[in-house]
Amino acid sequence: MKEDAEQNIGQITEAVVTIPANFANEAREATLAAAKTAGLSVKNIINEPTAAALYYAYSSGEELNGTYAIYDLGGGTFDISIIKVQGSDIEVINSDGVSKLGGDDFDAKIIEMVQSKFKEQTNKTLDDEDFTKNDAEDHKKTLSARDKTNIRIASPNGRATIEITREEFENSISTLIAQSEMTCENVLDEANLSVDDINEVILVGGSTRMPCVRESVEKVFKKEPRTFGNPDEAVALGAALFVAYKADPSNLTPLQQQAVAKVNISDVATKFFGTSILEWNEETKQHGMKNDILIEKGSKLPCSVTKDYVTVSDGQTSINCTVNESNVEETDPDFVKKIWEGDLKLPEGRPAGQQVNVTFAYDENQTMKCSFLDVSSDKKTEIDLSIDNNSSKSEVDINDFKVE
Amino acid sequence: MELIFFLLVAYGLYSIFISSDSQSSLPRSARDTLYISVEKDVDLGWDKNKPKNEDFTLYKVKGEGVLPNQHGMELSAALYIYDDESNLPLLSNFTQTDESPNSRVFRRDINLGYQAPGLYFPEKVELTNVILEGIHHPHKGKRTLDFAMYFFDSKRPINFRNGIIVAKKENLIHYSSVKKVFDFDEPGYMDEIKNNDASKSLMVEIAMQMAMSDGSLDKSEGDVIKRWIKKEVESASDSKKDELKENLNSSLESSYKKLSSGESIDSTITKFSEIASQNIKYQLIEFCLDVLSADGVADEAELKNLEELTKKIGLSFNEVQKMKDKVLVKIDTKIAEGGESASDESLLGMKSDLSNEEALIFIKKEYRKWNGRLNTLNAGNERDNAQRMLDALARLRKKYEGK
Repeated sequence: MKEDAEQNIGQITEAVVTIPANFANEAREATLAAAKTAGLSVKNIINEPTAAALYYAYSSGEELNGTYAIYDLGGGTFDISIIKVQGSDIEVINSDGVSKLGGDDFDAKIIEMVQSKFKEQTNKTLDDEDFTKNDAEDHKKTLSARDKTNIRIASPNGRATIEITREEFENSISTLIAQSEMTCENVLDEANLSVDDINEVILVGGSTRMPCVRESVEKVFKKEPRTFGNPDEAVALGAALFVAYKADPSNLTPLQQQAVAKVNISDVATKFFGTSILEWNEETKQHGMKNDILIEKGSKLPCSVTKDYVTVSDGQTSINCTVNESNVEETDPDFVKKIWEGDLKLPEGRPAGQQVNVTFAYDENQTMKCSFLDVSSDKKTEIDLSIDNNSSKSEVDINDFKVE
Repeated sequence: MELIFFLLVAYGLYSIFISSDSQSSLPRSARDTLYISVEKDVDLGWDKNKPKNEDFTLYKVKGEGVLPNQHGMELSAALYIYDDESNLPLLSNFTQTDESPNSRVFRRDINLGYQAPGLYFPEKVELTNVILEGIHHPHKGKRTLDFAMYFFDSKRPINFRNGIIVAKKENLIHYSSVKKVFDFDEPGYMDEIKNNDASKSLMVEIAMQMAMSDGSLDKSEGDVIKRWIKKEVESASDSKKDELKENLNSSLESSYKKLSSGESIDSTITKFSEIASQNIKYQLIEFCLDVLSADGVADEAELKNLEELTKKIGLSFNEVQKMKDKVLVKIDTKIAEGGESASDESLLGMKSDLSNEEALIFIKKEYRKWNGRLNTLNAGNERDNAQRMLDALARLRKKYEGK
């Protein structure tokens, strides 16, 4: 893709990477690694719903004022964002998504149906290459315009003409659509909003062309959704605007400078960030590990939170420090992603109850900086989890390296 | 919890200093040396949106009268609580209130700071506080507790061991105690010791019921029970090993016979519920979940059995669901697909008595939880199982929306 683009616009060295709202840290890292492999230097990361919102707010041609839902159903993921727009001030209120829900899943359902019907007609199995994902996508598009589609199969295993109606197709994907509906309801609940608070719902992503998707959106939001421009390009165009917004103005043309000068974006954390602590569970009458949240999902960026904890044992000489990520307010460490783990060494011979301050700071560039500070000794472990950095720094005790 | 505890300690000390200073100049003669009283404070619901188990009950220990020191000194006090009838000390659930690193006996230290002689509290002031959930009683039922406060010079401490003064008794300046009646629903630590072996035998029987939910005992399930018995026997003292082994094997055999002939073990569950502590009850749930997951399939009968058991022994449905979730994501098989496998409702722990509206709220809440977990679980089996949970929830939504 990079080479294709370079043929048209010349050499590309830097990029802004867009990330679906519900992407796990490992998926995010894999995306960044892919950009690096392609020879791109990643300058910024932007959440896809935020990019779509930016494009919509900037390009609608109207003076926007109110709360909007950006419904983004693409090829692989689904995102929903609630944004507040006042002129050119864009504030993301909340985002959520489903990491595996999109056109690819709908295509897979068509393939399943075709394979099943082929088996019914010929009593033979249809090979993958005789009805490919691309074939399925073509027929899916047909079903967006017509009530049925006829699929002619000529394979070494037999010939068949298979009819799939739109109703059959919509039935087969109804549980997927139900997932998108529940995600929309949750994002509103989390933001303490009702559908009446939403001025408009904007559709983004190629899969929003499907009639059942539009009907589902209308059912949830109780208003007809709106498509603006080409839904396939909204995220990419929004990301381009974001680059201009972030760029050194001297690198922009006067027209570009004028265009982005008025834009003001305020984003939120799309995940919860916490740390593992030991806690007494009054219900089970046992001590157990708990993920204690420091940064809440939906916190306006940049943000910084400090919490105080205490050591639990007399003579405790180290603390296991963790940075956990979760998409929901999860207290069980088994259900959070540990994105960093390290130790904070403590002085010997102290009683339990020593104060430890934990600080998480998260900024608009998705850069997380954390510190674990033992207050009385001033010993500290720091970690920088930024785009190109995953380094930790803790003060060392030279005695640890002496041979006994 | 540690933070809350820390704040309570800090607040307690602060209130002592403020009260002491402000009362000292009052022109009122004091007749009595300081005596203590115990008063229940409000239930500490730190966050009303959080489940009940995160609320705490606070008792304030207050003092009134003349401070006991004859000359100026750094004054300290230690609070112990005893079961009045048995004279046994209460234990601590928090390390911060352990008597020492080697003793779980509850002890609360109070640093009163420098106190000139003759100072007094004409009205009750808070000296310290006790979180009821932070102490562990010895016996179940209505019990009188003795709150005892020992005063001494900070520089000349008294030596205690397991709540009893073992040395330097002469350093005791003053002692005050007060009795208060409490009603404990849960068995105490002495009850636990007394009922320990009986509880273990009953646990084997209940785990056998879980294993034989489908009418037969699978080898993998039997192996889990055998491993559990072996571990229990190994951790018992040498003198008790043989007896415990015999008892647990006997329970295994008798429950197999009972369950094979279709006999109910309801009375076993009732008895277990009466004698087992909360902690042991949750250990039983863990044991049953190990049995349930042994063959890699969570079937309808097993999940229904677990739901019934949770109800009968009076445990929190939410807490058990949390434990169940951890097991279900690790089972290496497709769940909720045809045959005798679990229904979507059982799999997700949806109570059968929910109204349609409540069911849809439950489904939405569970969906939020599992959709959030999807990306944090390990890729592969765990994530696939989380995706199946989401599929099950989507099916349930369709089902209940259409009702």
